Amino acid sequence: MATVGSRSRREFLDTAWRWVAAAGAALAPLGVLGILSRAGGRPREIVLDPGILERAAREGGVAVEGVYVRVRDGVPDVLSLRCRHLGCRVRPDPARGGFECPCHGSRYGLDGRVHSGPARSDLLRPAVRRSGDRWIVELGADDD
Amino acid sequence: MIEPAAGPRCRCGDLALGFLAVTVLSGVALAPLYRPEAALESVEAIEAGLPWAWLLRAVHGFAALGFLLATVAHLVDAVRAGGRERLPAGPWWRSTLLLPLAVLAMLGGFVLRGDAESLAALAVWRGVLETIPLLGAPLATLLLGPPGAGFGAVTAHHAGTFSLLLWLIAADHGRRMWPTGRSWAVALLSSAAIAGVVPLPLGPAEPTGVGLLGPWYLLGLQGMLLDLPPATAWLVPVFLAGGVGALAHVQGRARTATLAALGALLAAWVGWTVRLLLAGAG
Ligand code: FES
Repeated sequence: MATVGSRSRREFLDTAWRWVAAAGAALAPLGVLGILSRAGGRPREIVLDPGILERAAREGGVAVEGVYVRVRDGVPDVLSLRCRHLGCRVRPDPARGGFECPCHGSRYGLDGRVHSGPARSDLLRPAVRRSGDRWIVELGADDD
Repeated sequence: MIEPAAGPRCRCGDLALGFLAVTVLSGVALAPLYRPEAALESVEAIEAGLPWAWLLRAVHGFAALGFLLATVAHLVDAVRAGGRERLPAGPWWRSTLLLPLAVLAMLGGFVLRGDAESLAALAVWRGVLETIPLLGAPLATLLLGPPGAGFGAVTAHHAGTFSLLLWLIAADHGRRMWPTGRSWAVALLSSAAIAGVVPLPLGPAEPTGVGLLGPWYLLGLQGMLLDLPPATAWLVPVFLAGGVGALAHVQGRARTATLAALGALLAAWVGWTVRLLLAGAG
């Protein structure tokens, strides 16, 4: 009887361990994913001081740290320079107007609208807020 | 293991291990000179400011190239040996990881230059990874670090994860830790000879007027991205690696069909390489 009892206990423990291992195996990737999804970095901020805005107004627009700044009615009009195809930094194309991506050739108008692919969506407009005589551009993961 | 009489004719496997050893050791010697937080400046210093460091970098780059080419040649030789391979399915599948790992390690090295082209390659790499359903964004963070976080994660994987895995799998595959003396000599001398005459590229910090192409061995994928959805850039390598792995299990007609599918993918790769170069020239 003792043998039967110890065997059934061992079987029970085996089964229990298998379930614990299966649950652990199922949960481990979820845990890793959860940790990694929080490692996405903080939003970045760019400070536009009066000097930059003055230059942007004088030259019609300037590229600053991944954004393109123009000034309309004293307020900065900011476009993210992150290509909406795969994230390369687009650059102003003075010859043809607008912006061009050096990676796969997507083209955008001056207003950020996509003109030709492979990108399919327009350049993003990050949020801008005033702070004294400066303006702060708030870049999310998609803008940066 | 592959039986000597029936197996591949070239000694590319051992030569690949020789190139890998030269790549890793030259990389170890370069590591103290590289600064991820000032990537381009430190590579410029390696190129121009420090005696012999340029040669070390060039040997590292060309030995890595030699490893890639010798691995491809070894694989082609093994596939050509047909059903005569004696490699069991498990080791065969593990060995198929060598090529993607080599490409990832080399792409990491390309990105670590820190010039305009490497920054673009990093952006495209991240963008492509992010198209993998569910896993994409965390995988991109794991391999490349958070967006805008610099080269720390890429450096760690280039010098650590990928190199370690490559050596472990190559050693497991070849049943030896170190290459033979002949492979050492061939790998070291050929890398140093090419390094002495062919300069390793380093571009400007800002993009110039021309389009950015990325590493030559990925031009086919870059070309596909002109016309096909971004996910193509990870689906094609997955199908290629999966197809090569599947060769361990199929015989006869199924093997021929698998080889034909692999050939079609490679032909598409070459076709889009040409398409990209023509688009760049236009
Ligand atoms: S990343 Fe801009 S076109 Fe592909």
